[in-house]
Amino acid sequence: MACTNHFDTSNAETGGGSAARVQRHRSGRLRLVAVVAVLTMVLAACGGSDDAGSEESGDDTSSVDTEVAGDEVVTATIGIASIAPVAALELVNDGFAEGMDECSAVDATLDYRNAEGDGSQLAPIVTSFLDADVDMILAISTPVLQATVAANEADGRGTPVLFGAVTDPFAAGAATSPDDKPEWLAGWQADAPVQGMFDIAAAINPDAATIGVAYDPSQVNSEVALAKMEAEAEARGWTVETATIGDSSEVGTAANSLATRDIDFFFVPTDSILVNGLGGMVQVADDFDIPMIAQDSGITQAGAAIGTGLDYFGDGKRNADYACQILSGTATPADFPITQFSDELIRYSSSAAEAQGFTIPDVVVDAGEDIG
Amino acid sequence: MSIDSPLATSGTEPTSSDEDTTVDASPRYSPTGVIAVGVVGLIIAALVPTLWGAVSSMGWPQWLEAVAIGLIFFPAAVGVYITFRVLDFPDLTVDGSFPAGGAVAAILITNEVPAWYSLPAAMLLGAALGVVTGCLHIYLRVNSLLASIITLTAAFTVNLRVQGSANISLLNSDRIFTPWLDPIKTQLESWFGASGVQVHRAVTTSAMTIIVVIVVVLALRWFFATEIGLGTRATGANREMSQSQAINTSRYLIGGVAVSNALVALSGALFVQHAGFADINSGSGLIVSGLAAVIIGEVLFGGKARSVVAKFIAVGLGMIAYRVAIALALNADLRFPGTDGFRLEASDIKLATAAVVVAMLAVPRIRESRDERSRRRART
Repeated sequence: MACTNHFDTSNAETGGGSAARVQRHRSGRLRLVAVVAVLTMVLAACGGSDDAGSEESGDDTSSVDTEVAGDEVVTATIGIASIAPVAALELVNDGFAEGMDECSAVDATLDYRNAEGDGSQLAPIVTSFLDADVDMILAISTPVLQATVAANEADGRGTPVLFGAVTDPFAAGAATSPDDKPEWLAGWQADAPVQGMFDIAAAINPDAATIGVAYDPSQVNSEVALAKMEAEAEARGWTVETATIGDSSEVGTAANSLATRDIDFFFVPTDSILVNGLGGMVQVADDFDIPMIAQDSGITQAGAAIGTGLDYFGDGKRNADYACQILSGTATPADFPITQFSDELIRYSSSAAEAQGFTIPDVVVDAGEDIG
Repeated sequence: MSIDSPLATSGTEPTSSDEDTTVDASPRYSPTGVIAVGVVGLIIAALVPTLWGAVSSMGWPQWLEAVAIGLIFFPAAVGVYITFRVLDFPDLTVDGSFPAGGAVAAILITNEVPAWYSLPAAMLLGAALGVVTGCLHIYLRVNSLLASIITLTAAFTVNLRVQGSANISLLNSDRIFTPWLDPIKTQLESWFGASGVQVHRAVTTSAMTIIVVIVVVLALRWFFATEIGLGTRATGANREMSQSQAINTSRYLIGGVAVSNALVALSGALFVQHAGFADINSGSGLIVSGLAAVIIGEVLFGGKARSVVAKFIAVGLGMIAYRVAIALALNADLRFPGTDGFRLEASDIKLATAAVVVAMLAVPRIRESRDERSRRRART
C-alpha cells in the first residue's frame, strides 16, 4: 500500500488539491479558535481574581460598618510567601498570624502561599500578590525576599515589604546597610549564632574536638553557616569534617562517610535539603552513637537531639508589630532600620538523645523545652 | 588481491612487518595510541596511591552501605535497560516514577498498611506513569523523549497529591526491614561488637533486597519467555518487521514502558524504607545513573551474557559497581604532590557520571573503528 501511494503522488496532488486547501483552511481556523479560547481563559482568570478582590473588600467594609467604632479599624490584605514547608519558616508565619490577631487597629486578611521548594514559583506568587493589590507583603526566607524586592522595584507602587527568617538581607542584595534600603522595605535579620552549639557540645563531651557537617553547597545560607562554624572551631582548636550533598537522598551516604572519620558530633545547619533528608543522618547517628546538634530548634522535630537557634516565632511577632504600625498609619517602613534580633530558643528531645547515646546536659534542660 | 589473499597475507605478513618495523612505525601500533596509553598510564600511576588510600580508608559501613544502595537500585537499572536497550525507547519518566514509588510506600506505611503491600502498590503507580508515556508516544505521536518529559512533569503533581506533603518521615513506622533490624543487630553485635551495630542496617537492607531482587529477576525471566514478553522484545528489535508479523507493537511498547517504570517505582519504594524518609524532590538524575549502570554493566559483566535475563543481572551488578565507585570517589582524598589535597564534592559526581557514560559509550565505537581500520589495512 505504501509503495503504490509513492507512485501516485502526482495524482494525489492534483486530485486532492482542493481537498488539501480546505484542510489547510480548517486547520488554520482551528488554530485561531484555540488561540481565542486560550486568551479568553487567561482574561477570565485575571478578571476573575479582580472580581474576587472587590467582592472581598465589599464584605470587609460591611463588617467594619457593623463593628462598634472607637478608632477606625483599618482593613488590609497581607500576602505571605514562603519558599518551603520547613519548620522554622512555618514558625515565622505562625508568629506573624498571632501578632496580627493581637493587633486591634488592623483587621488583616492573610493570604499565605508556599512554593513547596520550587524557586521558579516565587515570581508568579509575588506577581499575583501585586496584581491583587495587597497592602503589604511578608517574605519568609532569603529567596522569597529576593524575588519580592525584584518584583516590587519593577512594580513601582512601593507596596510595603517585610521579611523574616532571612540570614543576611545585605548579602542577598535587598539592602546595603541597616539604614540604606528601599523606603518600603523593613524587617528583622535572623543571623543564627553558632557559639551556643559549641558550648552545648563542650558541655556534653569536654574532650570533643571534631565535628561533622553535611550541607548543600548550592545554598548560600549553608555556606554562610559552615563558614561561621569553621571560624568558631578554629578559635577553639576543633576540626571540622565536611561532606556535601546534592539531593536529600544522599544524606545517608554523606552521614556514613562523616561517621567513619571519627567525629564527636554532627552539627546540622539550617539547610533545607539536609533537613528534608535528615532521616538518613538520624539512623547513622543512632548506630554510631554520635549526638546531633542543630542550628535551629525546629530541627529537633526532624530528629536532632538538641536544637539551639533563633526564636522564629518571635521573628514573626516582631514583624507583625511593624505591620500593625505601618498599616494603621502610625509609621512607615523607612522608620525601621534592619535590626538583628537575638531571642534564642532551645529545644531538645530526650528520646533522640537516648538513641544517640548521651544524656542532655543540665544547661540545656534548664534553658530549653523537651519535645519528647 | 585474489581469493586466496587472506591466506597469502597471513603467510607473508610476518616478513613484511619485520621490514616495516625497521623502516617506520609498525602498522600495529600507531603513535597516537602509544601517547594515549602513556598518558593514561601516568594518570593511573598518580591515582593509584590515591585510590589505594581511598580503598583502605573506606570502612565496612561505607562498603556495605554502597552495596545496599546498589541492590536497592538494581530493579531501577533493569528498568532503564528494558526501555533503553530492549525497547530502544529513551525514557525520562523514571525521574518521576522513582519518587512516585516512594510516595506510595510512604503514604501506605504511615497509614499502618503492612509494609510488604507497599511494594506492589508502588509498582502499580509506576506502571500507570509508564502507560501514560507510552500512550502519548503511540496515540498522539509525540516524540519519545518529549512524551517522557511531559509525564515526568505531570508526575510531580501526582506524587505530591499521593504523598500529601513534600516530606514524610518513616523512622517511627513499620517498614519491611523493621522486624529484622533488632535480631540482626543483636547477632552482629555479638560477633563484631560496635562495628556490628554500625553495619546492621546496611546488612539487613542488603539481605532483604537480595530476596526482592531474586523474585523480580525470576518473574522477568518468566515474563520475557511468554508470548507477550517475546513480542515486546521483537518490538524493540525491529518495529516494522514485528508489525508485518502481526505483532501489536503499540500495546507491547506501552506494556514494556509500563514494566520498566514499575521496576523503577519498586526501587523508589525500597529506597524510602531504607533511608527513613520520603522526599518529593528525590530521583532527579536517576536516568543518568541508570544509564551509567547499564553501560558499566554491559562493559564489565555483559561479555558472557547471552540470555536477556543474564543481561539483567549484568546491568544490576553494574549498578552495584557504580555505587561502590561513587562511594570510593567521595571518600578519596586526592593528594597531588605539592597540593593540599581536595575531596570530590557530591556535585562533582554528576560530571564524573556523565564522563563515565560518554567514555563507556565511546569504547564500542573505538573498537569498531579500530576493527574497521585493521580490516582496511588487511585488504591493501
